[in-house]
Amino acid sequence: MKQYKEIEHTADAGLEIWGASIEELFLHAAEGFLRFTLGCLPAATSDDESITLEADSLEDLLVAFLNELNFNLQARHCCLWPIQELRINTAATQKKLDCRAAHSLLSGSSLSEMKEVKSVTYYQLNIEKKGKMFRTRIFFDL
Amino acid sequence: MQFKGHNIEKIHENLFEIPQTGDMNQPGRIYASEEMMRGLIAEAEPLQQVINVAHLPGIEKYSLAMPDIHWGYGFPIGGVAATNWQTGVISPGGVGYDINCGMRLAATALKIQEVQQKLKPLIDQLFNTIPTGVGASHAIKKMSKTELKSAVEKGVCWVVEQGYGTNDDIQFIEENGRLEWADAVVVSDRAIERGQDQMGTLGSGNHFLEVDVVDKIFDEIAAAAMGLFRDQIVVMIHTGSRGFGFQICDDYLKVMGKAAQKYHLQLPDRQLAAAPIQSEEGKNYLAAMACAANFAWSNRQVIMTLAKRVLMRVFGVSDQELGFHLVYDVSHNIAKKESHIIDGVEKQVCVHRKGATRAFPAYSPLLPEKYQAIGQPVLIPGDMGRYSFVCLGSQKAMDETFGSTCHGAGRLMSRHQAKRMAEGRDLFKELSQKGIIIQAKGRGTIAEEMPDAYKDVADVVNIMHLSGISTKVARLKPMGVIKG
Repeated sequence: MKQYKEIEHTADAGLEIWGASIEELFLHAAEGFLRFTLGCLPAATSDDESITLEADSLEDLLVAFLNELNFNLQARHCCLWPIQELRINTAATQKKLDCRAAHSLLSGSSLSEMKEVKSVTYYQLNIEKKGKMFRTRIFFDL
Repeated sequence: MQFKGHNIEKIHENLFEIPQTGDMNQPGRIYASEEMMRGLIAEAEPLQQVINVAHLPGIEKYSLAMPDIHWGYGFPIGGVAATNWQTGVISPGGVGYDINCGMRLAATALKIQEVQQKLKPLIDQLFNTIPTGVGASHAIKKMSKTELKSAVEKGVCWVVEQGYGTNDDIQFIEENGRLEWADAVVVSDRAIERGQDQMGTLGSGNHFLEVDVVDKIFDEIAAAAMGLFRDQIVVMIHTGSRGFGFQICDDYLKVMGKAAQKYHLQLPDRQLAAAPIQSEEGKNYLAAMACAANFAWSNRQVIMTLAKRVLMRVFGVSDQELGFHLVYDVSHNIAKKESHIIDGVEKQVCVHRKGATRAFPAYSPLLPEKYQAIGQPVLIPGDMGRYSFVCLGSQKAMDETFGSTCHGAGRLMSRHQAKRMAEGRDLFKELSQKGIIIQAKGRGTIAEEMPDAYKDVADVVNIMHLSGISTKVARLKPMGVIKG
């Protein structure tokens, strides 16, 4: 079940995302971002790749994570999906993300139809727990 | 008028001020009509960003906004702020992700009557020659890391040495196509990787190359000095530093976020993250930003040269017969060291222009000999269905806006709204009926970028014209457009 939705924005684009845990929030953010950028998600064609990231806050970590996906799309034409074994350590001062992701190289129409996202931004970014769900909004500079 | 407890004062018909209050270091000033101001008050975010920018340490005179203001990240789009070079800060949010996104105008000796019959093959060949859209590359061979580092330090000279254009072009580019403090040592490997195969590529979104016709002249003397005349065919290019610049901005936003804490900067928005200009972080950002700026000028130089070769081929004319010449190249996302008179004293400042264009007056030492008597050409693009403008800088701009003016029209509706509005419509046919041929890479691009999605740029240009900041020289109408 989709746990994100696109937010209308005049010049750029945004997502509202939710999840039952921080890890789910990050996974849904990744899926929402990749679907926004690519439309359809390609089938994985290659072995898993490891991603390890650290940041001062969960918000910074989310931006770093989505920008990592974006860098691979825009610079290497590589889609890191599906994401497996995503773990986020929030206990330490530095928040840490570890995950493994399958990947596939984009070409042809997948590439030509891909949106060019300059970067994921910190605008209005605040991860909070409302009731049982973690929620946030995140915007992309197009 | 009031905005969140601030009394807005009307300075003149097209200029409003938010007085300095609280922790603002300077007042805010917005160039806009009264109707636009009412819209901005209702929208809230852009005016809040003007107020936020006024909090920057070392900001001089005003936090400024041009009439194409809309909300951005940290600074509003259309924002201008000058900070004291010795004591002030530099903020990547005051430049934007697309460092040195800007405009270039080249003119030809061709007239509309000569081009109309061959317009379709011309646009098709431009589209096939100039890489557009995501993933497009290899207009020139993929650069090695060493080549790219050399190119972004040397500026436009590097691509000229590779055969793209001539030395005569250089004087008609802002800063002669090179910020000399560029240093690739402070550019990340990721930025280098993103830039290696993107030199000479247009990108996507609102970037474009247009074949336009000069359909109206407002200032005969200035137009003649620029080599512009009625019914003339010109080429307009809008693009920037591509992934190279985006990555540099992203890298330094992280650095500046930590720097703001390190230097105890009190900023109302984390996206105004900044560092003292004279700090290591500030100097490194300036050096990296300069690399991106140099990449963008080089990028537009390559694209212009490719377009010129297509024109020669399609019309079967020699270089001399084509009469192709660069009118000017301006940046609308940049931060630079400039000298300005502030309260009667000449000061060195860092002028941030984010969605704003330099508009220097006659007799500025930074202008080429050809434009000394008239002032700097300013290029203001509109949407693909209406028009763009060539304007002129002025002394009033130097006196009031740190030599700055507007940069474009600004969007009226979101991409989703535009797509919904486009449903059931044949936009290619609608534009064709206006005599405009378009080629675009992505299927969604035409709908997202359709003319109805944008404000009328004439409204924006007229406010700056009536304010005496930048005056109209010529209007250009699109005949053909290529987009990503």
